Amino acid sequence: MTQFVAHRQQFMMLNCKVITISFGTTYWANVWLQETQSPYPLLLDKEQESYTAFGLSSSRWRAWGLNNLAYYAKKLLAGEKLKGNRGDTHQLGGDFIVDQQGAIQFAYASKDPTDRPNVQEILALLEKLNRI
Amino acid sequence: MSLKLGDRAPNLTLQTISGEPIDLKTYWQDGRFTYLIFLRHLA
Repeated sequence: MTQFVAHRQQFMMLNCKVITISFGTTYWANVWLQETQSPYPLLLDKEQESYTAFGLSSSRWRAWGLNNLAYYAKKLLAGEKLKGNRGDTHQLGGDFIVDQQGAIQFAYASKDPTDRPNVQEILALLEKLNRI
Repeated sequence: MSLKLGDRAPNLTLQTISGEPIDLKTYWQDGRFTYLIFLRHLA
């Protein structure tokens, strides 16, 4: 998320609003906003209906695969404290760009918790879409 | 079922952090592009 916060101006210049969505509780959402200093609106979907509607899976097997275990092992080795369980750890995330007509222009469903699209690739795509 | 390019984005009513209901489509109807980031758990 840090990458996306740092590129706020570029998203604005590319006529793109960034909206974050979480299934967490209001309490943890506020904690997360303080920690990340995210300038983007955060919407809550405690029932995870939007995750299902956008085709984002919930999978114990994929959520606790080797990539994710390696991610947490690196954090521990770097001396970071883990933040504990703040919600459904099996639900995977995803990224979508929607145009003004409501059509999907980019769809990315994470294959595991560490799998997110690269912000530079997103910005490059938005530049391309702005030229159309 | 995963969404493909060109599919219509599902419109759902979510809640703002202050508890107000809001339709997702209000974002994409009010701007050229909307980037939706579905987070995992907030850790």
